[in-house]
Amino acid sequence: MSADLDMTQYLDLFLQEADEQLEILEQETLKLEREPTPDRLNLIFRAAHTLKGSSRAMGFLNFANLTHEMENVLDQLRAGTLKLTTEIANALLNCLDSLCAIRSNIAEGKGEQVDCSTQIAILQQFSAEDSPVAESPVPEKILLSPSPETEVALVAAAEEKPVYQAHFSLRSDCVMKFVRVFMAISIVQDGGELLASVPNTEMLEEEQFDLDFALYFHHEDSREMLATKLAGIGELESAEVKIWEKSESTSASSSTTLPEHATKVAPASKLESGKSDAPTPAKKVETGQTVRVDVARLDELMNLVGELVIDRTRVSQIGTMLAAKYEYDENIEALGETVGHITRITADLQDQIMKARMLPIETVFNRFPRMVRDLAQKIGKEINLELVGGETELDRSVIEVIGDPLLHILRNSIDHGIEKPEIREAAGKPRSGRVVVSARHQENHIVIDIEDDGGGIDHGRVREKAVQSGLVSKEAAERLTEKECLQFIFASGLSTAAEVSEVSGRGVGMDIVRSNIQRLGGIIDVDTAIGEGTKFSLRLPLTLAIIRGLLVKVSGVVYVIPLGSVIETLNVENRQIQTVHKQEVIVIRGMTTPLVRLRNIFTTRNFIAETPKESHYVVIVGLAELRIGLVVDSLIGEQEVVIKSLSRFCGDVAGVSGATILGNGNVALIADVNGIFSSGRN
Amino acid sequence: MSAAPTLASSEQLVVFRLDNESYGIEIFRVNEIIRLREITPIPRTGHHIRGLVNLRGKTIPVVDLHARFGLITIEDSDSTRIIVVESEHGNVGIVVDEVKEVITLTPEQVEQTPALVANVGTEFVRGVAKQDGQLITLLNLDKALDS
Repeated sequence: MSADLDMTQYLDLFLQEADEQLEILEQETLKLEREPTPDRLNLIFRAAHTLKGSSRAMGFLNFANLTHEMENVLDQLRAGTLKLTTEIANALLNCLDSLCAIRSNIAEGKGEQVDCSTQIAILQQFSAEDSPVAESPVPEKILLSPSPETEVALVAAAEEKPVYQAHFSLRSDCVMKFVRVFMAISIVQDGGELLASVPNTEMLEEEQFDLDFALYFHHEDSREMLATKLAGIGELESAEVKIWEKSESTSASSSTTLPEHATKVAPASKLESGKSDAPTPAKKVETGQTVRVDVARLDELMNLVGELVIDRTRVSQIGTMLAAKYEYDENIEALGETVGHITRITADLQDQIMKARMLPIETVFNRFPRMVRDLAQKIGKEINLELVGGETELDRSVIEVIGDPLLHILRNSIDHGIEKPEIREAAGKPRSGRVVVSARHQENHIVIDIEDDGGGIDHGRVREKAVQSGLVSKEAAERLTEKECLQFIFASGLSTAAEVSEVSGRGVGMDIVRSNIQRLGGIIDVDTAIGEGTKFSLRLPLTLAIIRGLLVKVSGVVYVIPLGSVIETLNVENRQIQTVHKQEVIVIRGMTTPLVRLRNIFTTRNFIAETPKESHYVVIVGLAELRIGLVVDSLIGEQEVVIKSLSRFCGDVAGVSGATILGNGNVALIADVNGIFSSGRN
Repeated sequence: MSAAPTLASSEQLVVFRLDNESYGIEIFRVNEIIRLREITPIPRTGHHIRGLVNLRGKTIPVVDLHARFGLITIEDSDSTRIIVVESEHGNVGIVVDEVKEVITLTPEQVEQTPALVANVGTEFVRGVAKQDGQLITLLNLDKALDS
């Protein structure tokens, strides 16, 4: 229709929509397997149809063809001529994978070159038994039924006054689709009130629809009057007006009806009231409730707020200084009040922007059911996956990076943890293994547990393997506690699986998990009991932009240790410090913890020799499951700091992950616990 | 003059003092000049990087030209300033003992580096200019900041 139209501006929209619809497709298809309901099928069908429509509009024919074939199969499932089998579900899910592949190719500007002929062939096999659905307008009608939420609102509105439904089909050669939409909306709003539209008004404005759209509205005119008015819009194939009823979404005749012929019960007598006194409880659904914001803009906002926070702290300190100087000045009092107010506002502002950047962890969890299903099927295990706390929110910077580690752990739990059904039965456990992934907030952190009721990890075996792979000497291994042994599962190149499978067992994976979590400043813990199961606990910061830190002083310079890594602080006397192989250690509650003197690591050119002291402040930090004690000169306190990256001019500095600006305007460096661990080891 | 002139046309320079010599850098490279403030040292970096300072909510690295040029380190004084210049890695501050003036040089005033100006490694020098009887060393800022 409009080949000369610049499509690139719509590409983003298309990709976003494709993401959403693909997600729906996958989630619902997985659920469909367990409990097939007509509603669910409709939802899937609608998603596939939307995808087909928008991809065709964008000219991605490969994409459109595949969705079209899916639609055929789905339609037969819906009609009951085809029964949902695992094979069909597999085929549909495979198609989704291809669609995702096409989508990412399109996103990367590589076109849509993905071969999906096999998928199409398989789908056609399924649908071959019945004649494939023609390009009939039937699916169009389904598409145009309002979404469940809209429907609820419309039902509420219909209780007050009749709700009209106007269905428009534009001519296929229609040049200015939105102009026609706009005309329709103006007619409807002249003496009436628009309640909803399908698709929603945003999409209408963006012309993100094929040829059909529908409006739902109150109006004081009779149906006939409206029909005549609406028929006057140009470039229309048909315009059909009727009183909307909830259940009739599919019953509409599929022929294109001219308005005059669309006869239905029309309570035209209800000519009550104008628009002014219509206190409709129905919210104007889907319009103006949310705004899509570019992530970069949110990041920029976050930076600005960060600077504001710094200045706020500065102003409040100046205020305190002035107050000490001019104690009884009334202006000082006013300043104090204002500062207090600014403090509250900036805190709120920071909070709100943080919230705007938050996403529910569901977005990560949603990837799991599919993976678990496929994996269980492949290795012949029965898995009951439970996802708890999907609504727990965290910053998108964290969301982006935790997906893979979680997936790794989950895969391990299923592949190594859960036993085969026969073995489980023999052990008196239910046939299907249970894996629970749960997320919850704890203080300023998010805690994610992955718990299985499988066989547990045999630490003896880990010990054996560790010696075999040369990670530790035999003698040293024998001295290790069970807990210490378990740490080897995070070592590269170690796997306790007897045989290497396609899924896991090569001994990569857990070390990636650990390094990913460390990079986030998180901690990972593992707890296991043989025969009962294993539990991995991850503790992660909610955001990577602002952290709470412990301020310490080393050689006269202030450093910030991320509080997420801090386990405890101690005052250690000289006599408590022992040396093992020239390495200073202390024993805390039976655990031998190596000490690192930060002043030896953080050497600067104005190095001040340490004065001998009776006791030292030690900050115990945890990196994943490791513990280490950092000896500092003094502890200053706890503070929220905004992370700023070091200038590239300085290059990479071992042990320092960034800088921040303190309340007094001075710069402090943020200690990189990960880096300290590695430099402490050397 | 045998080689091409160092300056193609007249140029404005910021002249500063380091130790007891005068140096000049192109004015368009200078963002601002600030008083010395608390510099946070960065551990385990090159000797010439003095640390980070807070420039209106941003942290910028500060280079010590004494250390860079192998001069004797001089105590900071009241006249010590930080000149904030643009480098390929963003803003960088350079610590100088005093900022003296802004001058305009004509190409004729500039000579190729004579070998006798030996205080500073020749790789950092673009040339030498004479102004009112004093010698001004023209710094090659990119080289001087290149670590």
